[in-house]
Amino acid sequence: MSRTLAVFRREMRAAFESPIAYVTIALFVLVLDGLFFFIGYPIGRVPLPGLWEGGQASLIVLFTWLPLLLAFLIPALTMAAWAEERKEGTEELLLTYPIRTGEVVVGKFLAAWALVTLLVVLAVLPVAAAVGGLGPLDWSTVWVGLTGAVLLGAGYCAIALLLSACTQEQLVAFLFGSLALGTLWLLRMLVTVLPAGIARGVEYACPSTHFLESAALGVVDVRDVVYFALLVAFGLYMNVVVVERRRWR
Amino acid sequence: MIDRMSRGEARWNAWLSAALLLAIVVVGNQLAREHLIVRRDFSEDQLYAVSPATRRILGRLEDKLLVKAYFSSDIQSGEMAIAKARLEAQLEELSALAAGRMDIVYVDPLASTEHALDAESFGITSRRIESQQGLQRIAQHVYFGALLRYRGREAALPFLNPWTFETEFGTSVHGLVRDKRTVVGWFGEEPDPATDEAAYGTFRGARQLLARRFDVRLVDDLASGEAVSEEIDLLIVARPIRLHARATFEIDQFVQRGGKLVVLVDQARVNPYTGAREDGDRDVHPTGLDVLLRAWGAPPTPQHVWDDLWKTTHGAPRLEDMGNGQVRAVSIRVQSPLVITVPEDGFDRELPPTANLQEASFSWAQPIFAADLPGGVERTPLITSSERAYRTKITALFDTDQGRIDAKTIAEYAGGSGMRYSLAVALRGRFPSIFEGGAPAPWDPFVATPDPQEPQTTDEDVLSRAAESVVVVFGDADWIRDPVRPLDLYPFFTRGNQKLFLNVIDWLSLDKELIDLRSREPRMRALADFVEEEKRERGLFSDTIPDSQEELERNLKLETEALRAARARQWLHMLLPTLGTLVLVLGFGLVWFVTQRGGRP
Repeated sequence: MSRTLAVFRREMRAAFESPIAYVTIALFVLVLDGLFFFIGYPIGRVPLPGLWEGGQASLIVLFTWLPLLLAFLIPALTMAAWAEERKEGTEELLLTYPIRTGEVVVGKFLAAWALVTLLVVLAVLPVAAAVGGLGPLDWSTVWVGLTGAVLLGAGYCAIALLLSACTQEQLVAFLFGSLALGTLWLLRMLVTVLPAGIARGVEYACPSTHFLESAALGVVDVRDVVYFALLVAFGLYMNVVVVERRRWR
Repeated sequence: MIDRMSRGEARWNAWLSAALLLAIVVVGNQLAREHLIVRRDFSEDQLYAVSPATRRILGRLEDKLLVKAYFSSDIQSGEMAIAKARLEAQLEELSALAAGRMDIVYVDPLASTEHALDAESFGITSRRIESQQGLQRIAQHVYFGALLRYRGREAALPFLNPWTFETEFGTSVHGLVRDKRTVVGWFGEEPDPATDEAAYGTFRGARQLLARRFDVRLVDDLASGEAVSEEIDLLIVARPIRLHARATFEIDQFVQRGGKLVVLVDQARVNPYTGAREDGDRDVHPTGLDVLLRAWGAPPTPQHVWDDLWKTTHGAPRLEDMGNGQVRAVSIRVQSPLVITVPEDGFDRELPPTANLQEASFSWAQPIFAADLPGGVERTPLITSSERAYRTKITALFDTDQGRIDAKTIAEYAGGSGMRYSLAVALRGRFPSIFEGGAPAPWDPFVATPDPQEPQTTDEDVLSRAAESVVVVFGDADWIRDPVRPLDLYPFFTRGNQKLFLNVIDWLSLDKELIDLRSREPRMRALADFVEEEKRERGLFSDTIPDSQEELERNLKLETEALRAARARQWLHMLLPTLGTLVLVLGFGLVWFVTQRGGRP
């Protein structure tokens, strides 16, 4: 545990020392707020208007954008986690320490997840406070939605870290991660045009389904918690396998 | 471990474990999806969890409820497959809540002719659904119906929709659990239309809506003075015109026996397709119930409510010359104060039928006046107009000239600032009979309608204040009228109106649970209206009409200022959270840089 925490601290320090985290957070907040206040969510069969146009004290537009924006943000935050280590040659050094690969993987995951949680909270809570001052906001839905977004972030982090471990270049890791997470988001949008045989399975497999159809609406569904727990477990285990594989070469 | 194993073995073990984990992920999710149905809705609106009303209804099941779901199994459309999955999940959730008293059987009518015939015998038929699959547009007939069986009684749900499923299901189960169905008597002026085209002035849709849950019986005999059957619990009198005194007497006696009554007054006859009056120059028709309603404290007034604040933009017919000597009716948009959309503010919040309503529309509504109430009768205005409403003569109902309409509003305003009028009232208590002096003579087709106040009396027993009852009087009947197609004119039987209608009937038949079930709607969470606030701060009110050119110019200047100030406040509310977060993040970065690295580059 202490070794995992050591990795966690190392990763957190690295994140805060790099300008990437600050630039990413700033861009994320600007884009998300701009979409929320002005654009709304014009995608899909039921477009949602922006805050002023809709005139309703609700964060549903904000939550609806989160899966897509996090699909780009999280790979940006995690791209360096393994790819940079390999490029710099520090991965070999790290793995020679008396620490298990699993502990390194969990440490890196916890650091990425903590960063994403901080970012989501920073992006959502100030807007919620502003909207709450303008009208009767349903705060229970905000808290549940926030928790759901944190779980979604965990699932995304596990996938993005796995893809970072598969590549040597940061940019490639970012592109792979964004492509994979973006495809999962897009698949949910396209599920209505898929054949019935696979539509249900694909819809269930998409992480955004487990956020948008429950937590974003203020609903806690144990099945979603199970889904994200299994997704994270699978992503982390595969991450360990991919890193270990290099050790055996 | 790896030291003792060959690298090949270790690699093989790792991949095998990964495959096993993947299998665990898939199977775990599948098991959770089917068996771990634990959902809790924490939102204030409680729209995504089974409502307490449904739980109570399911809790009253004493025997097995059999749900035979006629669902197509081979569905090609991905969208419909997801809808089916949602319906199945909802059924399973309800079954779990019924604690073993609900069995579900899935049947595919497309798999056997026997099942298809069985489904169709209950009115459950397939529907053609079109959907996009890849680049192809496909069409398929699918079944999504259900039959509910309980203690030998049956209720069919012809086509289920996941979004309205709970209300439909709960309502049907509620009807099955009750030992006796409420019998609703319907007395309307118009007979059933022979064709759809002739249906414009009827209430066929409203009756069909009622027939889904109640035993609806037409009581046409009432026109010729037949007594209302003892079996009828609730009587709806739609657009009564020149009722015979004997019919009035029978309605009065029905109420005296404890029967509930709904009266929908509409004293002007208009063809909504053309806008032409169907009754020549006659202003109003007497209902035949006027004397009765006045005696009970809720007389309709032969005038219309002109509501400047809650006016509605609606389609209105205008005849256009086609150039070849023929004319055709087209729909144009008119903002008319005679067509009123009542928001939350206009509903009584105490009585169940209107307590949770958000909107209902009335067309050419007549105000119900507060006459002296008889002792033992309580009067509650259920629906009122805005405070900026006026009374106007029943004339020129279909004026489509917006300029003339607006000019009339200004003229009305000049006469006073308006007041709230009751559009519907509920009367509760023991009602006095106006026939205490004697019942009117029986109906005779060769004798003109007698005045109910000067009846040719008989020696029949007349009940007065015999039992508690409830009477609801609406100053409009159009609000439950069938939609006028194909021009899409007027907001007649809108969704909000349907809800109001069913709420009133459920309230009178003591089904508060169903009102609770229907009132599940997202709460309106309106943002602060900065423009209105700024205008008010500058003394600008929307009903202020400037007296002079100078005042008009001053008002315009103040309005521009108000808009600018409102826009500035909007920007402030947007920039505060965004910039606040950015400053926080950058501040944190700066502190980190200084404390952790001592400011070294």
